[in-house]
Order: sequence, then C-alpha cells, then structure tokens
Amino acid sequence: MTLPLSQTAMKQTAMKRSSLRRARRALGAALLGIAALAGVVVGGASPAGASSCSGPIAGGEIRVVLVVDASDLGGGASATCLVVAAGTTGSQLLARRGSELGTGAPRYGSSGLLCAIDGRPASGCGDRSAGGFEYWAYFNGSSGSWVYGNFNPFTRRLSDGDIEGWRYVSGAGNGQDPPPRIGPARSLFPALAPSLPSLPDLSSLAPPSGAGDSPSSGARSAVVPSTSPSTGEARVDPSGDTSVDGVSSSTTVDDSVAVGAVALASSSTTHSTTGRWIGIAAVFVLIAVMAGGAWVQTRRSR
Amino acid sequence: MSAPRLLHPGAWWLWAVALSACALRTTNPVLLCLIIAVAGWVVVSRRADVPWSRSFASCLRLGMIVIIVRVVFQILFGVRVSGMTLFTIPEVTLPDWAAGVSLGGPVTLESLMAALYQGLRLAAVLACFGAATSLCSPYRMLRALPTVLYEAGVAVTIAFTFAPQAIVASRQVREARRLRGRSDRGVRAWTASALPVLEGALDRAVALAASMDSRGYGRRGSSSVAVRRRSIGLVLLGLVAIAVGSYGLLDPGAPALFRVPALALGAAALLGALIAGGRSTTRTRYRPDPWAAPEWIVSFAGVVAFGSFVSVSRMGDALNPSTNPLEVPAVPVLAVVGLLVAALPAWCAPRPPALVAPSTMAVAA
Repeated sequence: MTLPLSQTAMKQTAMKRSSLRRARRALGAALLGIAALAGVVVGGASPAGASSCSGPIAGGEIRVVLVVDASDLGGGASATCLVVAAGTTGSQLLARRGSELGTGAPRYGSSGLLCAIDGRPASGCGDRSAGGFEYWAYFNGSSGSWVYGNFNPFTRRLSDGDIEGWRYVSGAGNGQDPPPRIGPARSLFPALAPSLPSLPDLSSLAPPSGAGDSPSSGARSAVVPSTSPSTGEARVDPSGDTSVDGVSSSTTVDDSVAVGAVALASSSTTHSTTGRWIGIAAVFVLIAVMAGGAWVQTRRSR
Repeated sequence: MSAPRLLHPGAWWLWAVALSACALRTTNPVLLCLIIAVAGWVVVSRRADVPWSRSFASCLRLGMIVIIVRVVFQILFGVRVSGMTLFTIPEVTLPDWAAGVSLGGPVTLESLMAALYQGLRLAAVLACFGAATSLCSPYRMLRALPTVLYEAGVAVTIAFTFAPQAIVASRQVREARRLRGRSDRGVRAWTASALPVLEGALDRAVALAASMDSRGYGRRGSSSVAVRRRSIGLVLLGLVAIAVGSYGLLDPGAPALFRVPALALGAAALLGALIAGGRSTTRTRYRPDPWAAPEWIVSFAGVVAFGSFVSVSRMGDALNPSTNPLEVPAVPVLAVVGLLVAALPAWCAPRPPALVAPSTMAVAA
C-alpha cells in the first residue's frame, strides 16, 4: 500500500521539475536526434529519450545516463538521462527510471538479485539456460567503454556524468558477457548540460529525422519508445514538434493518466490482498488448533 | 486402529525427508509455519516415551536461534536491498576489490522479511529432522539400513545416533549441574554445558559404533581382499552420487544432470557393490520390523505432500512470495491440502507401546 503512495509523490515532484524546464523544450528535439543516432530505429517507431537532464542543475543534484538493453527479451534498448540527488545508488536510479517512464519498479529476488526491469522477463530470476545464466548484467560506462560491473547496485553511489548500463544477457556471469548495444558515449547526455567533459557541439547534432553518422559504437542497437504512459518529462513528442504549448498540454494529460493508473493499481491490489489475508488467517487458525491440541496431549500424558 | 507397536523407522524417515523437501522448495512463511505445526502435531501424537523423543523441542529451539542469526547477519552484512528503510546503521566503505560486499547501511523492511523467510525455511527443515529423530529409535534405524551401507558402518552409526545421543547427554549434563547447585537455565548455563554435551554425544556414538563393530556389524564374512576393495569403492561412488543427486533434487536451480541421472548412477553403484560383495555373505535378521499398511500410509502421506508442492511450483510463484516489492504471501490451497495429508500419520500410524522403563527399549532394540 505504501508503494503506490510514494510513486504518486515522485510523480508530483517530477511535475514540478518539468514545469521548470518547459522553456528548454527544444533540447528534447536535440536528444531525439541523439537517440535516433544511437541506432537503427525499428519499424519506424520513434525513439524515446529523456529531456530531464538538460540545462543547469541545482546543487546536490547529478546527471546520470541509464542504458537499458532488453533486446534479447524483445524490448529493445534505450538510453535515459536522469537528474537525481547526489549519492543516489544504482538501484535507486533504476527505480527512478521506472517511475519516470511509468514502466514500474524493477523486481528483485529475495537475495537482492535483480530479476526484471520494466517487467521483463515476466517470471524467473537469474535462471540457468543453455548458455549459462540468463540475467541482467550490470555495466559501467563512465570511462567511455562498458566495464562489466562487479559492484552492488544497492551500495554503488553515482556521481555526475556517470553512465550506467544494464543488459539482459545469457552468459557465464563474468566479464565476458556482452555489454549493452548502445555505446557509452558522452553524446548520450543532452547537449546543453554544462560542465561535463567533452560535450558535443549543438550544431553538429543531426536533425530529428535520424540521418547522419552514428556517434555510438553499437550500430546494431534498436531504440524503441517506452510502451506505457509516461510523465511528460521523460517523453519526447513522437512528431518531433517543439512547440512549448503543445508540450505543456501533453504533459498535464500524461500526468493525469499516469496518476489515474497508479490509483487504479492500488485499488486492485487492496482487493486481492483481502483474499490472501483471509487465507493466511485460516491457515493460522489451523496451526493454532494443532498447537492447542498438542499442548493438551502433552499435558495429559504427563 | 491396530495394536500398539513401533512403526518401521524407514517410514518415519521417508515421511520426514519428504516434508523437509517441501520446506526446501518454498519460502512462503505461511506454508513453512504449517509444516512445522504438522511435524509437531504428528510427533506429539505418536512419539514413544523415550529419551530421544524430546529432540523435537530441541530442534525447534535451534530453529529459533537460526532465524535470529540469519536476521542479525542480514542487518550487519546483508545485501542492501532498496525499499522501506526501517533504520540505518553506520556504513563502512569497502575497497574496490570487495565491492560486492556491504557492511552496515540502511536496513529495509524488505531485506528483513527476506532474511526471516529464509531463516524460517531452515527452521522448518530442522523441525522435520527433529520429528524423525523423536519418532523412531536410532538403533532400529541402524538395523533397518540396507546391507550395502554396512561398509560405511562406523560413519553411518555416528550419523544416525549423534543427535539422539546429544539429547540424552544434554539431559545428563543439566542434571549434573543442578545436583552441584548451579542454575541450568540462561546463557551462561548454555555456554558452559555446550562442550560437555557435544563431547559426550560423540563419545557415546563412537562407543556404540565400536561395540557394534566388535559384534560383527559391517563385517563382510569370508570375502577376498580384492572383492572387498571393489565393493568399498562402489559404495563410496554410490554414496557420493546419491548425495549429489539428492542435492540436485532438492534445489530447483541445479542442472538436470545432477538430478535423476546422478541418483540413478548412485543406485546402480550401490547395487553393483551389493552384487560384488554380497554374494558370499548370508545375513539373517532377528525379529525384523514389518513393513505393513501403516508404513505404506505414513510414507505415502509424505510423498503426497511433496507432490502437491511440486505441482504448485509448476503453476506459479505462490511458493516463493516476492519480498521486493513486498507482497502478502498467497496461500495455495493445493499445498495446504497436501500438508494436511502429511498430518494423517497422527491418526493412521499405530500408537507406540507404553514402556515400563526407557532402558528396556534400548536393550530390546
């Protein structure tokens, strides 16, 4: 019950932030171009990126790019730029991405192993396969190339300009497992983000049509948009329209849709948990009867 | 239902092993509590008045300690799982080469629940073991073992009698403390008596193995050295293969090669050892324990419970409730029904005979 509430709170802060950045809408188009350049666009689908980390950031905040590659699960690869509080951990970043894109929180196993991002895969967690294990491999791309991460996403604290990558792989579970198909290029960050080293010039960026050379090494990667309704902040208008009015109106619509969905989800969970609680109560009544009977028997035999 | 008699120990062990296999397949706290309750109910209904029948209570206490240790370790060293933070303990930043390990940090409700579920699972397995030890005489179990295992006579004797002997020894150590006017409760009494209890139990088990050896248990008769070596090698191979196979069977994540093929290899090796070594020896049993209808019912009850768990795990995730995000565990009806079937021995097994004194029991066995 607490989870949907906190998600709503996150959405509200996201709304505030997005209103601050409405004027910088043009950057959305720039990012659209970058996202399109990051790979081949599948089936004419428009790429999704994030515009949330363009422009100056407040003190105590950092910009991080999160690449999630679910190509092996039919989900495509995407890069999302997020502004988060300094000291955010890798797992918090994943959760934040899920709430910004509206794809839900990642699923973890009881041991803390990451099982699913965006609900993919629907079931199973690090299961064995013919090629070893099928799992979400963690990579760090801050150095300019993907480094297989032996860090714990729950304790790894991010710093400004970090590039984080997750790819669903089938492999031995070591550094030989393949990295995400979107390369960890600086160009994944929105062009105007200041004070980051070696940022590309805005004029060198291709228009949103996607023509031009790929700045990233992963030329085979597929960029697909997030499927569920997202907040206006994390979404780029598919038409490439950069009008400020259009964006602001779509933001409000999207937000109301997202909040409505959260409210619906919470009410449906309450309904199903009541049945579960009744089942648990029935079993514990049974256990109490057994324990009472055992106690009586022990007393009698003495 | 039938005249009071002791059930075949193999039936109780089969039942208990099936029940603990159920426990190993699930982290659902509701089902684990039910497993412990079922085991306890059957023990209370059908245990004989012998020293080792108290081992169930000791195993429950040990289970509580296991749960506490698991939760404390989770708080101190556990993987930092995201979620609802309950409190934060000081965090130690470790160097890069130890990046996978965490020491301190925020403690979340989700991580505590996961630790609790896992501790409860181990406690349930311990309860099943305690049920088997309290329900059947270790001496009768030794007698009922297949001839192949006689090769590993001493090891098998110690393995089966250590836990019951520890119960007897702990009782004696506590009595001795009381006679000396010291308290037999509290942490200090525990730590002071732990070593004598373990030492005494091992001494008793070794003494028993020695006396059995001197009476011919595990002897191969007049077989030649070559035959004996061959059969010992086959027994070793078979035991290792069966250990690997049963581990594979209990762990759903193990590769398929470690399951049925390993068990089949082990069984074949043991059979080979039986044929290789057993041809020359003839063995008779004095008053063998019968395997009649109650034995079939008891072992079948355990197998039914295990089957219900396997089919529930095929249908969905109800056996392993998610702790991140935390959810209310579902109660699969089929598994509950299976566990209730496993409680049937409380009525179907014959009552143990009322004994005059525990010592006659040991002599009779």
